[in-house]
Amino acid sequence: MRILGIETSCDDSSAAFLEVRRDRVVRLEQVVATQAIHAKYGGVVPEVAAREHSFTMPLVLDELTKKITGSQDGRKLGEQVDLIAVTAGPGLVTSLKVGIDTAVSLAAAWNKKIIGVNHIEGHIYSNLITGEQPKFPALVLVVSGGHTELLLMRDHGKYKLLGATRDDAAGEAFDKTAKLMGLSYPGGPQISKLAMNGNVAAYDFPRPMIRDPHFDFSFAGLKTAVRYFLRDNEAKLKDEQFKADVAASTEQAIVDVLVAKTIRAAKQSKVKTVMLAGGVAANRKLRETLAAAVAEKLPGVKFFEPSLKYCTDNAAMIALAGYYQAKRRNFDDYKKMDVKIGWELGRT
Amino acid sequence: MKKISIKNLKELKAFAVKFATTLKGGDVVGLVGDLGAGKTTFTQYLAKALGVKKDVKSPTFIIMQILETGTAAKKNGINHLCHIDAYRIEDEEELRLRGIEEYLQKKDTVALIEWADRVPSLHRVPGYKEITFTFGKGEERILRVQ
Repeated sequence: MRILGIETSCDDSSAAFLEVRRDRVVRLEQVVATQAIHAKYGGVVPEVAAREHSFTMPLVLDELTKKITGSQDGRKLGEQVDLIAVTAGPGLVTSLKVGIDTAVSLAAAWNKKIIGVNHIEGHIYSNLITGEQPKFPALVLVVSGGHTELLLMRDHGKYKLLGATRDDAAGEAFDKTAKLMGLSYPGGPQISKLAMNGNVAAYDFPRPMIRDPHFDFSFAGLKTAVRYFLRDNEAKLKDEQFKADVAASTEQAIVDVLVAKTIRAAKQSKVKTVMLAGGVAANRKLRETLAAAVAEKLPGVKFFEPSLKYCTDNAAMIALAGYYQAKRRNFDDYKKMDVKIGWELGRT
Repeated sequence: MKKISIKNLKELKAFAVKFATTLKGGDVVGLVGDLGAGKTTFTQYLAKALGVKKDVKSPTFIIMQILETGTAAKKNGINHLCHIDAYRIEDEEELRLRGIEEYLQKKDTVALIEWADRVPSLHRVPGYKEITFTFGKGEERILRVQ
């Protein structure tokens, strides 16, 4: 099956071409809107316009068409495609609409099947791009700038939400504590870099809800605790070792909560696989700690982590999630496709 | 301008509940204050006072979320609380490009904007209310309402 994936739920427009044979990805081409593409087509554009999907989507599709067909003839791309998969939610209404309108138009013009994909489900399937198959039931920890969720996956397409953040997402906790320390946005990767030279046990920041029986998370209190701590130690912020220690201690606090809850949920649901997904899945400390905890505390359980390339928002993961839905003949009617801004996976 | 000292979460909640009773559909409320000042916590209490059932999470990444209010609020003409976070907004133009502008001053909606100081044009909205959060001693917060 050959799938065109389209993703526009937040900041970046992206399109991907995926060819999948018996659950194995045999070809993957992806284009994400970047300044380089804008420069190539319309000169350098202001940051604001670069974030406007209606402006960037045609450029992204043009670039993908060239990669796949060697021409700029969109009809030739249509001849190569069996299915169109597009992010339908959750996300910003205007951003999602550009993706859906594009997908619907192409489905109508090319007479192709279409599937609206949940963005979070896309992140989960970024784990399967390698072709490796999970054993069900599986537990997924989804961590990004906007999400922190624990999902039980009984089979392809069958989800139960076990818990989620009640305030800030884990990625947001990284970004905002980074900001408090004077680092620039997005601060997550910068915290991790600083943390490499720091002592994780230097400061004992709170691990909110770590022992609570439920699987919800809360990171707003950690942010405020770091803020109070920095207020009381303002002069030390000039010291690089102090900053590295704060970064390492903060990262450890966030990772500890995520890992402890994941392991406990995995035990309780007796899962056979644990998967990590979302932008924060790129965090090295989290990958290593969770992998080690699964190996130590959950014997026989497989651990999946997405390759770094597919942790952030991308259309390839949307295309692959679409492939698994198509296998179940779970198609949408292009005349009735709509944006689902608050679409929650597995909420019953 | 009114200046209020808030000593703890209980007092913040009481203030939010009282503030909620002053709202009507079409109102636009801006929240200004640094990280950890209590903007999202205030919004959570306000949403609860308006009968919102869902957990109100920080919309920093997603920028905007629309929440359905409860029956009491609906009787008063408030069907939705539109929760916007301008933290990642670099240019006011983005509000229009991202389709957020149209939710301001919608007749049946109260729009609440965190990091409102990043959107100076809000001051031109008729009846615009703004709450500024600053840090006092310890856990105290000073709120200024205008």
